[in-house]
Amino acid sequence: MANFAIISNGAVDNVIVADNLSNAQAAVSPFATVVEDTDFKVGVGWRYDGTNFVEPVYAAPAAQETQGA
Amino acid sequence: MTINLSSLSGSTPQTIIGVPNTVNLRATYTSTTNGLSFPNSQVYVIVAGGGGGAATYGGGAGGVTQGWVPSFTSVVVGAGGNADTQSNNTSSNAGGYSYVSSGLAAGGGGSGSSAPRAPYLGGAWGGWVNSNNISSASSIFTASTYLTAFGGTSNYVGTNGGNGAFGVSGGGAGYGYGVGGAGLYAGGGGAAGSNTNGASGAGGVAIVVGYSGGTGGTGNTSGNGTSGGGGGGAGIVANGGAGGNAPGNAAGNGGAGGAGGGGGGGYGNNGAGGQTAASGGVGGSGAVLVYY
Repeated sequence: MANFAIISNGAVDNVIVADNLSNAQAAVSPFATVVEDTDFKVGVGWRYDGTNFVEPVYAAPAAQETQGA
Repeated sequence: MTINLSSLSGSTPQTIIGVPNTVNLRATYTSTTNGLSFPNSQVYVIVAGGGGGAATYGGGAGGVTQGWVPSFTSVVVGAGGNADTQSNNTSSNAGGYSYVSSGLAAGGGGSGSSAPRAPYLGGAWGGWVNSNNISSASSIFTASTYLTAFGGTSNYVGTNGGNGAFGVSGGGAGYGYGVGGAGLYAGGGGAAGSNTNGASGAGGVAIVVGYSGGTGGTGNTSGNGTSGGGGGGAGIVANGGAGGNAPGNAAGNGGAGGAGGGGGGGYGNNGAGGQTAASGGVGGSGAVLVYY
């Protein structure tokens, strides 16, 4: 069992669970770009440059809403 | 896609539609599967997206949809969102979406980070939702995709903590030991404790299918606010995991959501304003249940 990222226009459109790459590829589309997420860290909205996944940058929380404030 | 906050209040559906009593559960899929066939031209399915991963805040449960669909040949199962492991409260992810090849789909739950990844249509929001951060939700689905509009969004919308809201799938809890929202089919994750109350929130329950959310971790009895991890929300086919306790400065990990859409619990903090390296809970993966 592994996680596979489904890539669309350079971004992760979905992350799915499958037994292997061929199962994931067959289920989504034979033409889709499917990449195994070996580190189990990729999420929807990440970028994929053809080799590496890049986490998006999100705004920091406001100070009064930070845990421990 | 722009989200109108006024439309996001957690609510009980007007009509609760259960699985027809003329059909029986025949198969449960928790992994993407091809080459399926069924003896009937139509089958009844429940589709659950993956639960959102958690940071300090609880992850939202994956969306749940159900209805009659033409028999299909494959199911795609969304993964649960990963947990925050960087102690920066921003790196947990939303869950992936699930669908069957004949059309019914359910979105993933939102992450429980302070800058939450927006859930796909149908998933519950994670525990911390701020209007500044809700502008990038996207979906390949439209409302008409849902044969039965059962995958509504529940949420906790706020800036200062509290419990997750009830919905078809439960929202994740916000800052400060909030309890994950209960859902008809999946509950949201609980939040980590605060500096003034180290105990953490429990995960939300899944009411219809009877699974329970994990208990929240305990805090440090010395009263310095050290918190345990929040409990994972219940999934559609599994209980949520329990959050870890917090002896000394060690924060407990959040419990993982149950397979089928429970959100992960929040990680603990060390009571001194900083956050430990303890991880949040991982969202449960999605599931597809087939009846005929």
